Amino acid sequence: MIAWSPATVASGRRSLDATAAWVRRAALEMALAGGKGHLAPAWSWVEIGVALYHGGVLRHRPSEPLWAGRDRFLLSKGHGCLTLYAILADRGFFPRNALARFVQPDGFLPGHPDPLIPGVEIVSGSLGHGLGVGAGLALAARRDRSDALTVVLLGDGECQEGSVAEAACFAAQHGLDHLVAIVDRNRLGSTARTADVMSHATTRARWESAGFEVRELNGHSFPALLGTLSDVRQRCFGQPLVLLADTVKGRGVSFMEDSPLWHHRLPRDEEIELARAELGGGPAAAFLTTFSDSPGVPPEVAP
Amino acid sequence: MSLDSRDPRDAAFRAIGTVFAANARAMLLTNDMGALGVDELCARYPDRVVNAGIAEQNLISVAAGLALSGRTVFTWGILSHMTARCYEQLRLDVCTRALPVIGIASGAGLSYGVDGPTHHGIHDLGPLRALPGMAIWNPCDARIAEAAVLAAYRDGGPAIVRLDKEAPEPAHDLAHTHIDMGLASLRAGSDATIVATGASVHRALEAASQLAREGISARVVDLFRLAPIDEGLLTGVLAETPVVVSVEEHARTGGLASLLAERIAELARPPRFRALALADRLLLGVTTRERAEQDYGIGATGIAHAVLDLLTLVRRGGLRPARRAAIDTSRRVA
Repeated sequence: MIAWSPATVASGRRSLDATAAWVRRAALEMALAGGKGHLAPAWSWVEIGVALYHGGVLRHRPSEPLWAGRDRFLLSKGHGCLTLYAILADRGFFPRNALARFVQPDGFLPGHPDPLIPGVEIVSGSLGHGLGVGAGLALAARRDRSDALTVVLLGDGECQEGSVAEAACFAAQHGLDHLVAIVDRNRLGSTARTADVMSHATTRARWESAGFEVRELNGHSFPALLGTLSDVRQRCFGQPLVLLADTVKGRGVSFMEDSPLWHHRLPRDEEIELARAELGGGPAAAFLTTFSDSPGVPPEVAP
Repeated sequence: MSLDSRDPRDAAFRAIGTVFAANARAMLLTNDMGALGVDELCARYPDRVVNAGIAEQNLISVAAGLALSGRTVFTWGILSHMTARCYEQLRLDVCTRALPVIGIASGAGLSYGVDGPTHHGIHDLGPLRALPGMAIWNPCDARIAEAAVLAAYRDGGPAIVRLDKEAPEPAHDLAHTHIDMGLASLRAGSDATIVATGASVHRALEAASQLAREGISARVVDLFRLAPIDEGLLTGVLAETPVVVSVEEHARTGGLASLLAERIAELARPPRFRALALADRLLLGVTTRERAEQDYGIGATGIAHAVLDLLTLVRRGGLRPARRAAIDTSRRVA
């Protein structure tokens, strides 16, 4: 049995909080270097991703991305890939220096993820695909008598897609109890509040009526995340699980938080240094040296 | 086996049964669509046939997830429903990884004519041909249907097998038709070539018989695999006679007409070409095959007339097609 306190599951010498701080700042520098990127929707799921990969939830082997015993993580909200790339690089799936070439022609990290990237299972960026593919993976895992998890991260805006409802009903019908959907419920879509667009798309009642066990939590709290996820591999009640994780879009930079302006906008001019100052990690030149650290050695960032 | 030996759908399920017996990781997903073949598979392999519900987008995503885990997944449903609604899932979830998801789809062309445009399989070929790595099989009889399913399974990538609802006398003899060539000459001829696919193959053979009575020797070629194409073989077919007529039960845009026109346009000495197809519209009302054949000239008589028209054009003045095209152009300029 694993003890689920952040201190004991921290990667190497670094706390989960410090890892999250590094991932946020890395995402900023990647987007600035590439001149584009969805920063705010990447920042809303940083703690979720770090809990999964650094918090001991997901079985994975960075040196062997296609290891048959791995759990599957599908980033269904593909536009949140800045966080995924930073986490995968930090875990050692590929060198951190690749991050500096986000969306650049000499790099291999496009604006939405694809399976050419070590550690990425599916192409995503068109919404509403991940839960269905995840249901297929989870069904196969159960037939293979594997206890592997399939974890799918969805946006709450994404839950407006009809295919999400189809997949949810299918997963419940087949009792896929090792399928875990996590909804990054930041309450913003691309241009508007989800409550003003399709307010019923991401309610607890909707997932419950589809047949899921629903757990609501603070998606920025490591104790909440790790506590909520502590029994996922042991669950065997024939019911898929969804975590409705309340998050803040743009979390980490005060003027970008919870604002529909920032879905795809990047900080400019003096906003850049304000953002760097709020995220921590020092001047750009100093922070970027962490991109050349050797694989497996966690860079230190003061939160 | 109680399945009808002439019914392409039964033949396809016979092939799936062969695969199921050989490969314990083969599965079938349906969108709540029945068939005698589904019932028989279900009776023998209850845990490998999944009714995924009337939810085609999710069905294809689930198929992709299963295929990512080492399964070959057959899907079963009506052609128009299993291609258009879930096109993005085919493109992104299946084709991105070249996964072995094989669509077995009923209702090619106007198989379901009187059921109305929701059930017509006449607009899928253009979108399907644009999918990278998607093999498209369009058998005209049960023999090709069975062989196509087995070939699609052996080839291992995404595929769709468009099946007709009718059960005609077989047009192919598998001693002469090589499934991997993707096309076969069903009747020799030296004056004109009729390239057909699906149910239209049978109309083309009738047309060739009519033409023979007029002293015209028309070759009939069945293009039963529309992707991938053996370019050398097809170019040979298109270059052999001065006249080529294509015929299909599909809208004019995107199907056989487009496929052949793309190749003919690049030939140094193109034949005179006429494409017989349905119009680019939804066919509202009660559409029978017989009426469509009359309205759009895709029946035997229409095909024969098209061949005669083109031969008249080509033979007037005894000019070779390329030469005649040049004269036509210079006249327009003058």
